[in-house]
Amino acid sequence: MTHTHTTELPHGTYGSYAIGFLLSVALTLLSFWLAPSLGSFAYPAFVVFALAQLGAQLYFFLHLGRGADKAKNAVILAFTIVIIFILVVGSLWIINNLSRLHMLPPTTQDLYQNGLVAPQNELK
Amino acid sequence: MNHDDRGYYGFWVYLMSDCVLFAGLFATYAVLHTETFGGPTSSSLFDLSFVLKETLVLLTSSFVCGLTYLAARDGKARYVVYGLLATLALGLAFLFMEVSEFAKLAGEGAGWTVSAFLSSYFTLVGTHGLHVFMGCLWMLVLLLHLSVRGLTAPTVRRLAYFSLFWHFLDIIWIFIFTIVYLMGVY
Repeated sequence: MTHTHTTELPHGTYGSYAIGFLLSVALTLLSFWLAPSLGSFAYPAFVVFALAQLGAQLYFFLHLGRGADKAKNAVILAFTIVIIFILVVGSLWIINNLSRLHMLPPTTQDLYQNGLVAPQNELK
Repeated sequence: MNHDDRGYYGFWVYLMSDCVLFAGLFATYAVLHTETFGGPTSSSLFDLSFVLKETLVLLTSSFVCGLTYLAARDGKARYVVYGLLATLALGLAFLFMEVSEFAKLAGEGAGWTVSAFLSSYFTLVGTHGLHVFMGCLWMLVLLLHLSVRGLTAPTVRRLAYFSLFWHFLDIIWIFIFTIVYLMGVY
């Protein structure tokens, strides 16, 4: 009797798992082998390949968007993404701001010995 | 909503809360990764070809785990045992690789006490490894269930939750290899 309930849980097929696996392997190899050779586009490429692999695994392995509870699962995932965004971006923002504010301006001694008002730089 | 749906939803909520835990560790790493305190930097430490092997081992284990759940759903008890054993072997291989990498780093004078960068690195990657270890224990319990009671409906449901957990760990690893290793070296 519970067996019919079990089959209602979201699930894939052997084919969809194989597609997910091949996509993930391909995206991993692209991250390791192709992205580093792209020069200044390397970082955007890392991000794109990681997010693509995240999407592939959420869809093919975790069956997001399928099954009875798909709307509720997606809502709590969206909420989690908001929390993660606030946590990560907020931390970086605050800490970078702090370290910029704590970086002291050059001391008067520095200015006198090496800067514009140093004896050797004084306007004659 | 029947009992199965509630359990599945509850497990999903747990995974999302675990995501927030990892987000905290990722934020810590992002803030501290340049604070090397005169010690080794990320680009001088990490061996990317080794990390690629680790990644492929974990990914294969995730794939085999998915197939194991499909076999369980179809009632093929023998393949479920084989699948779980293969997933467990790959999970243990991943753990072994990770521990040997940690030991190598510690042996090179890059232990977790050296700098804020290394503390946050070991905490982030080690917490993922701890999850993999707990997953391996979970698989042993599942194998015990299978050998004592056979492939019953509750066991199939537990396998469904376990495969969610195992796939989730692979998703966390995507961000570890991208942010910690690839962005750390290039």
